[in-house]
Amino acid sequence: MRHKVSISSLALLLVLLGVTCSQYRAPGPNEPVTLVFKHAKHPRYAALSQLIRQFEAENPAIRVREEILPSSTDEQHQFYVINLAARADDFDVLDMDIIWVPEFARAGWLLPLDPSVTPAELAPLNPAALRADWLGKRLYAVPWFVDAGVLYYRKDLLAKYGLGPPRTYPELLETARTILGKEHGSHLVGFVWQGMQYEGLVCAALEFIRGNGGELLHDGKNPALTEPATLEALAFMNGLIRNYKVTPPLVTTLNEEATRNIFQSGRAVFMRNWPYAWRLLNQPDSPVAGRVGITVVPHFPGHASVPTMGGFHLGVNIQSRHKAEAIALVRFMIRRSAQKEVLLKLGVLSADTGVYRDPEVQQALPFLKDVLPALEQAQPRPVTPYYLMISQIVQPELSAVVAGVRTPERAMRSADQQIRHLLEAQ
Amino acid sequence: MTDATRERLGRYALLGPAALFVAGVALLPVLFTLWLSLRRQLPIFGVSRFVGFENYRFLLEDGRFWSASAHTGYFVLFSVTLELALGLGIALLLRQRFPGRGVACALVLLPWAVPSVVAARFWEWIFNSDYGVLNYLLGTSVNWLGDPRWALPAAILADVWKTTPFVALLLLAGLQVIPEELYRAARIDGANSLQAFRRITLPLLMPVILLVLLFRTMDAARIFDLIFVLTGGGPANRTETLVVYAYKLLYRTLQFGYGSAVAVTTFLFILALSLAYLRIFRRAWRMREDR
Amino acid sequence: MDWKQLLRWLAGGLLLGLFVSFALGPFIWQLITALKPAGQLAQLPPLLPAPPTAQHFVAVLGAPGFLRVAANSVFVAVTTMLLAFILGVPAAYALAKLQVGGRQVILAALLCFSMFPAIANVAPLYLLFIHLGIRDSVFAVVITHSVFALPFTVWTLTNFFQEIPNDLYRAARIDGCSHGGILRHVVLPLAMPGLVSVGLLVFIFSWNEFLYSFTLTATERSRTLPVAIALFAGLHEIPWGEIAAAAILATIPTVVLVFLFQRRIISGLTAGAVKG
Repeated sequence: MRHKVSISSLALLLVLLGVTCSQYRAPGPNEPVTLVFKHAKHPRYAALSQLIRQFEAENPAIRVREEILPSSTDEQHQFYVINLAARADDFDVLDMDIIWVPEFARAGWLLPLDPSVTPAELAPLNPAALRADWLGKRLYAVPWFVDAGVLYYRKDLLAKYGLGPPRTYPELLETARTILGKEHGSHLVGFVWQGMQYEGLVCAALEFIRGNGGELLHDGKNPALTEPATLEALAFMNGLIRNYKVTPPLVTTLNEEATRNIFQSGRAVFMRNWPYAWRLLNQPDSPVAGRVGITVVPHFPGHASVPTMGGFHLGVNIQSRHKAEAIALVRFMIRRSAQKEVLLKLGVLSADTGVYRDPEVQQALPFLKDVLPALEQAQPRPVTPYYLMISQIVQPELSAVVAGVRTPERAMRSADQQIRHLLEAQ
Repeated sequence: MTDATRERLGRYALLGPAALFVAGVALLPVLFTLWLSLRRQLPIFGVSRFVGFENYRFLLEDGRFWSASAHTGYFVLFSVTLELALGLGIALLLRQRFPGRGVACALVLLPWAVPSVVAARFWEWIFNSDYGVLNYLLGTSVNWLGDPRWALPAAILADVWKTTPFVALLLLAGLQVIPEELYRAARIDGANSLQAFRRITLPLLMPVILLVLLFRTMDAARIFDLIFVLTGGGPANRTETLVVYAYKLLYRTLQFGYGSAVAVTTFLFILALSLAYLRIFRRAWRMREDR
Repeated sequence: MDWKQLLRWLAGGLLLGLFVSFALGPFIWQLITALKPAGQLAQLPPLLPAPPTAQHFVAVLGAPGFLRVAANSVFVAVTTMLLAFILGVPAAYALAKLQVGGRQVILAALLCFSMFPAIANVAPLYLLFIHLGIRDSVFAVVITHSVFALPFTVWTLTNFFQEIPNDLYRAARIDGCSHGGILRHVVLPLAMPGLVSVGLLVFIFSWNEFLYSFTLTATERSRTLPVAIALFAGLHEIPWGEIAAAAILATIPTVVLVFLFQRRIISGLTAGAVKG
């Protein structure tokens, strides 16, 4: 027993010493410039590292160190806020959710990129995504990869009843009800989307609202939540759950993964989600592999579809001590060749629209032809430094509508009031 | 130097390092937060000015703040009560000698050994209304985390699961200190176990119960990780507690001044509750000099 | 054993069984999840994995830097516990046994530091550590954890030290024992259950702490397990299997510690020691 204790104490001591020593790393002489690239974890992190090695090969005087953040956008945002507000210079290049760019830019945390990044370099990039990167007349970030909401549907079920993918929401409702009516005994639901109280709810709700000609904010200044178009769209969302029972009440707990799980286990006819799910839905052990179709999110009759744009953008920390090198990395990432890698190897949608016409890409990823219309029609959420504050006001109200505890009228009136109060106080 | 002086210096030397350490590191954030709470600080808009108690005045009229307070109060009341009751039960059971007692002790302590974000994920998985094991076992299809009526009770259940071991362990250690002879004497006097519990166990356990109440209330009032992972404060803000609200103010909307004011007010609520406990249990706190 | 005692034993056993199942239930469920093949994760039935697979555990253990992170966690938790004891035991001794003026004020002030929501403390602490130059180092995490473990440590130990009868203390003083000697020979042995409980709870607190560890660290150099587990999730893809496996693995050290020390926790004071 004595021996066991001393051996384990010794082992412990060794671990402690080892960890202590590893905290120090003496800088060598003539070290190249080391850029710190702070970004969220990528599922295919090996492919991203390869891309970075290419950059280093082209720029022998620059080394890039990746520092990974958890994928929870909350944790990333919190981390950036603490660091940037403290004027830390620990990292040079950062990747940001599209909705943070106006906020960080307005706070003066991002380095303007526009004299260095030329219009020619920006030209091929998704124009809707780029809109979020300009504040006033200056460019503060560039889109790295983009995202847009899409509608997934069960090809096999629709074909069974001779129905095509719906173009409008009423069509979707009809199709779902028909199929649900005929498919007895299955635990099938009609339409799942993200109804939990979080940012994803705003993305999903905006597709209904804008698809009816409504809007969240006009010109980044005037809330439009109480307009009839918006209220109708919300009433429809509510109706899906309460009147037509096409969407289950548990939608209030659903985020992207939860909706994917339901759809992937074959228990939903329609799903609203982001394109990332395609690959997972068609994996060999997926119950719905090969039976899924993608199309643009629906709209209401007389209006156009407006998928919500997501995605991540690259920016440079204004405190960076290696501004020129950081900009070089950013420019590398938006080059055609890098964007092609992003699309092919990283499994995300490149911001460069030209890449999609590349025959190699079209052959490798045939489903892109269905996603492309979504990318072309997608619009970002209101581009304003106040967006996160507005979202914090709108999320609970939308959630109240979806949970059935408030009517759309009351909820939107409350949101409207709060947003006006917020904008006036500035 | 006189003996008395040396004695007194000796005492402060024992106390000093701990006090300095805590003051040195923890005082700074506290003062900083207090300072921020008296300002209007919006880095996005470059706003940074002193506004006195205006944040607190706004807080009094803020409906969302009062809702968050109500949710926090509800959470604290039920979770602390349940944990105390269950923890006491477990501690009493584990005090008996029986084969496998050590194993049972270790098993009961397990939930406390899990990181709170992981525990929250466990329960998120369990409460899932679709493929969650709770609905499967009960044969129901309750929307635990998505129904405004059930979300907060669900969070309370998860919290009780996680922190009852903490209470049980402390109470068990506290029970160990009560000498066996007292019980033997009581039995000789003809007292039954209920009387023994009321007359011997409970009073002698008071100091530890007070300790448990203080620390559990502090932690329950500051609950954050669990709620954030399970519901994010929803649905419809029905599970938003004070710290969740403060977090959103600080890190999502970057309202550093007002967020700090909410944090300070949370501290004041906890302080008030703690003072109330110390008042109620003042006999236990002052702790008997001679035994 | 008469039937009333038997009934008592049965009832007690049943109750304990219920508590243990309640405590153990989610764990067993996580273990089942960790053993289920990826395709079956979101389906119920089947309740049990068919067939069970070790793929998630392999993925977790083989993830780059996992061992490094585990070592960091060990360092942080052990050092925090040691620091809490080194600073807390003398302080608790002084508060419990020596007539320290303003004792209640000191205890209350200590407690107050624990009452602030951690999220408000995080940003200023981060600034402090940047200025001290120890950001992204385990030392920053150790300092933070110790500071927030101290109030609990001091309060609980003060409580347990107070239980030791004053006659013992006075007798030892009369015998000419120094404070250190009293601590070693009288106080610590008698307060062992309390000490072990506190040590265990502080270790667990530090081992599992997330918010400060996440904010004050940036790379594997100083990262701890809870942060690494948070890194498992992709933007939209939550690998439930891997998270379950990582959670089970992360819990093992604390479970081992509990099993190792449970005898000390439940040993209790024998009547002889108290009287002597």
